[in-house]
Amino acid sequence: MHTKSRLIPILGAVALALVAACGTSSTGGGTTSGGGGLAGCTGSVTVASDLPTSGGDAAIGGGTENGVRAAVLKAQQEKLLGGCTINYIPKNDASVAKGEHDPALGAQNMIALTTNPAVVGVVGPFNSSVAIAEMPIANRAGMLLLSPANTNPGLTIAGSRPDVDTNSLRPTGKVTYYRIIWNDIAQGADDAQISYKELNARKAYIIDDQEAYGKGLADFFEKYFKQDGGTVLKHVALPGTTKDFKAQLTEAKGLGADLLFFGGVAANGSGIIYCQMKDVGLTAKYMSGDGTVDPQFFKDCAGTNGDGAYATSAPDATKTSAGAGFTPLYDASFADSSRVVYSPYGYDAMRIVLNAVKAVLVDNGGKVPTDSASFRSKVIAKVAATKYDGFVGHIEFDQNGDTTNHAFGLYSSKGGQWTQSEVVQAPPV
Amino acid sequence: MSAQPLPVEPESPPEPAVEPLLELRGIDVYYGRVQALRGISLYVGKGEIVALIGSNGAGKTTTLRTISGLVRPARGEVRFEDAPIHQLGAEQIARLGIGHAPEGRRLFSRMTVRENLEMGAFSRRDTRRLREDYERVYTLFPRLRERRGQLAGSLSGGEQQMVAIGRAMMGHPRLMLLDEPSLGLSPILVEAIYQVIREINADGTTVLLIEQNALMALNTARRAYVMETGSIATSGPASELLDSPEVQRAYLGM
Amino acid sequence: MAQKTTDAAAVLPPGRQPRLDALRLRLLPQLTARAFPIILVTALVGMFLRIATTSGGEIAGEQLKNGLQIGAIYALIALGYTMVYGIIELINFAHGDVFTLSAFYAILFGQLFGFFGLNVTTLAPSSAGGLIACLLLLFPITMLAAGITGVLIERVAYRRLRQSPRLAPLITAVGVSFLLEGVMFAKFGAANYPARKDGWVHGTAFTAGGVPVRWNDVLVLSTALGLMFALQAFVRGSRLGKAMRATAQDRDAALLSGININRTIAATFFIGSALAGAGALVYSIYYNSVQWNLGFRYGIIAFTAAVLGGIGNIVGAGLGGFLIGVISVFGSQLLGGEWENSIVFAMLIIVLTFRPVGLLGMRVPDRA
Ligand SMILES: Nc1ncnc2c1ncn2[C@@H]1O[C@H](COP(=O)(O)OP(=O)(O)O)[C@@H](O)[C@H]1O
Ligand SMILES: [Mg+2]
Repeated sequence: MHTKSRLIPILGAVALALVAACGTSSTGGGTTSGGGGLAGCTGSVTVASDLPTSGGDAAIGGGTENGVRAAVLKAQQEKLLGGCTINYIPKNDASVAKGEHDPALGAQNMIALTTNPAVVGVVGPFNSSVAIAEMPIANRAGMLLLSPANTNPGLTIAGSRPDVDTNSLRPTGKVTYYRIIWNDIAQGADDAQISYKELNARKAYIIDDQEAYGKGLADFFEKYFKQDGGTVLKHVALPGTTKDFKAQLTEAKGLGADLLFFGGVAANGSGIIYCQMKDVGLTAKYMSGDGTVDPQFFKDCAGTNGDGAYATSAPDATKTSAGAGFTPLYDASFADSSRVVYSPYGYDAMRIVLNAVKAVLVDNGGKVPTDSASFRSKVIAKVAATKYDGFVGHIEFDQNGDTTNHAFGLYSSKGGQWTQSEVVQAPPV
Repeated sequence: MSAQPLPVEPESPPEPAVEPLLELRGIDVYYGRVQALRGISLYVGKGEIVALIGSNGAGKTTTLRTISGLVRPARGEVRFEDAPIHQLGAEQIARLGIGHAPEGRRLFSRMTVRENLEMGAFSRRDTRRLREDYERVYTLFPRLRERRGQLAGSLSGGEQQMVAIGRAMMGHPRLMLLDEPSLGLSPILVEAIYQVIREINADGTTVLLIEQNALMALNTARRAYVMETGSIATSGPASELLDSPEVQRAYLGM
Repeated sequence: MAQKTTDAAAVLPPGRQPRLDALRLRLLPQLTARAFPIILVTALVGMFLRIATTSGGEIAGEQLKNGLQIGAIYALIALGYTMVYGIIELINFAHGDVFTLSAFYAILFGQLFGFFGLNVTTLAPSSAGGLIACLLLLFPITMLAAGITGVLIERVAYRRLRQSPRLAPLITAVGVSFLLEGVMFAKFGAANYPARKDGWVHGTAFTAGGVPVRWNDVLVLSTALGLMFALQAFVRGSRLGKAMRATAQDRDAALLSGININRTIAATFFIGSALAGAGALVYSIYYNSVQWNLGFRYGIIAFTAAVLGGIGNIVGAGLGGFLIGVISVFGSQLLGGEWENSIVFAMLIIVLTFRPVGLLGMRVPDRA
């Protein structure tokens, strides 16, 4: 990523110019183009992102960051802020020590971004555990945090998760955190419904990876699977370093499980579990959430052994009419193989931030506000009022900062790839 | 070091009556900052039994450990068969033919008696003569033949001392260093051990032995050195030292 | 002179043993010494029966097999811990990482053969003969590379500190561990690294009491058992093995016997690391992927196994490995998998409290 970074803007700009010239520019990414009243704008505006772009999360986090970069490139190219320039600071919250996303590093990044008065909004983070570390810092600094991927409901809904104190994440009492993806209450309910109705599962054995995301998803799955009429045989939480799940899978076989649900990310065992199910002769169906829809799954469970698993995730926007234009836009600047489901989410999140910035500049008479604190709070106010048709669909936020759009993709594994078989609307929760 | 005269100038040692096998020249040894040996010079002639006596902490054990290479001298020279050996590693010195029954016996306590003896012969290849040496040890210490399958750690003190001496013999050494072989033994056992030492010596092995309880040593040795706080205080034929009033008062409890 | 009452104390030079009240020291350990193995075996049998009654005998049997299989890997790592601790009283924290590194060696050597036109990825799964040929190539070369790694670590990081206070080499060992993990992280990345040994060893070998035992279980178990007994015979009978035991028991006395200590300690590191290398190879075949930080957890569990068996004792380390494997698997089913690490480390604490010499640690009275 870093070696490419100097070439990318140039290539990207050239490619975008060609695309625009041919008149095939998509509508995705915004309703405005050109500086609209900001031609006289001088100075610069700085936006940032914080995503895990190395280590175990490199593929998924890097692909998301590329989406964010694509939004910045597009806005720069179309002079969204007129005469004002857009600076972009990408931060990486994957630490060498953990080898993946690290809440401590996320907090450190957030301190650096909030103490930089130039920064007016941040896209990120990717992981809910990192969000818990970053949100209070951003909230105290009045900084917008717009996540493309956090799905832990506790981040926005007080009382929804026993292990997350939502109010302490908002020490000022104001909502400064938004996300353009549904939360895991919806995902858990959706996974339970698919498992029960479509996969005809009745007896589930649940494993989670002990992390905020994995445990949260697994807990909601458990709740809704029981509500749907299913039985939960056992729910165990295993550390992400676990490499041998045979003890649990053998137990599941003994209990007669017909579904294995994994709440967790691929780096913590999605593929390993699926392959070891075959080793111990557990013939149950496999269902998981968006953390499993990751190429790492097939590294850990290669070949035909990896076929036949199910997981929900963000719908593949590129297969919808709203998102059809994303792939060429992305491919103009980045290798198509690096594109992930979250790339358009990264794009839309950054575009929402930039649209908000633009609206603030317009309100301010085409000038960059000099007071950093009030600039930040005005950006948040504009984001809260978002009505945006992006690649991932229509986005508005409720009073908690959650999106009102609850579309899921159901994916299945085949031939070393996750393929979306349908887009489902989550049941009301 | 400044050439400060020692408080008690040791008598110049008598001219070697026999060809020296081992010779120490001006050995200084330090443990960290603390000096344990100060200019030790001594020699052991071929075929002799030489005793090194002195009170606790005088530096006797340190002297033997320096000869064996377990401790490095800061200054001075150790010569064995007219070649310097103080630069060699302890295991190389052992292979030159210096057997050492160390202070505290230091047996391999989780090995059998037989294995302990075997370790004493570790560096030897002449398996034919080896058998004779086992025989010799078992003849000198019949107890050890009975106990050869027993773990060394479970033996009595006297038996352990026998294993320690036997193990040192198994290297078929030309020089044996014995560190307080009589410590903690009953008078009868002390007599038996010393009988063996005389027999080993009669077989042609030179012996340098340490004792705190000097009477036995002086009765057995031909010559002796008396150590005090890291240096040689006196030396001479054992019989003369036995008669010396100072030695009698300090080391023989008379 | 203090009484030497524990096995561990027996390797300490005189004057360093704790001078403890003889009565207190003698009574309690003697009671626990007898009771400990009985309690342990009773607990294991009880756990087995509990699983058998709730999930059926076949599941219990499968769990026993799962435990023995993972325990075999722990055992192979534990051997190196116990050997090194036995000889220089160092908890070689880097040992678990030597295991991980060796798993990467096994992968890299497989690729290396590709340069010479030998594609192990396709040859090994093709036929039994192909598999055996690949194993015959990979076992020695992986073990050799692992052994050399161990020797280098000893030479560079530990040898100079041999006379230093105990804490110095311990900290260095932790440092070497981090260094190796850093290198692996940088070279192979953070994610699970595929071993590309799919289908090397597959299929069911036999079914015992309704429990299917697969060929890869057989491979792992027979490697561990075979190497453990070979090592035991080597240490008992060979010249070098005796030198190792002598050095472990009394380094000065070993020197006085003409044993080259440096070479003996290097050989100990070589053998211990080579065994971890064998464990790593079978691991990479069994689990088909490796991750840079694997050694931390496996290392610390294997160390617990070594302590349980009686540190310094080879058969003890093997036994400890198998026991820890079985206990952790049984415990996972009965208490829940989240308790697995807690069970293992509770074990460590119990052993250290009630039976510090471990299961097979001997008590040799030293009547000095
Ligand atoms: N390992 C050691 N470290 C520090 N000092 C030591 C050590 N061994 C012996 N000493 C000191 O060196 C001096 C000589 O000790 P030693 O040679 O054992 O005397 P001896 O054998 O005559 O009783 C004593 O003061 C002793 O305290
Ligand atoms: Mg002494």
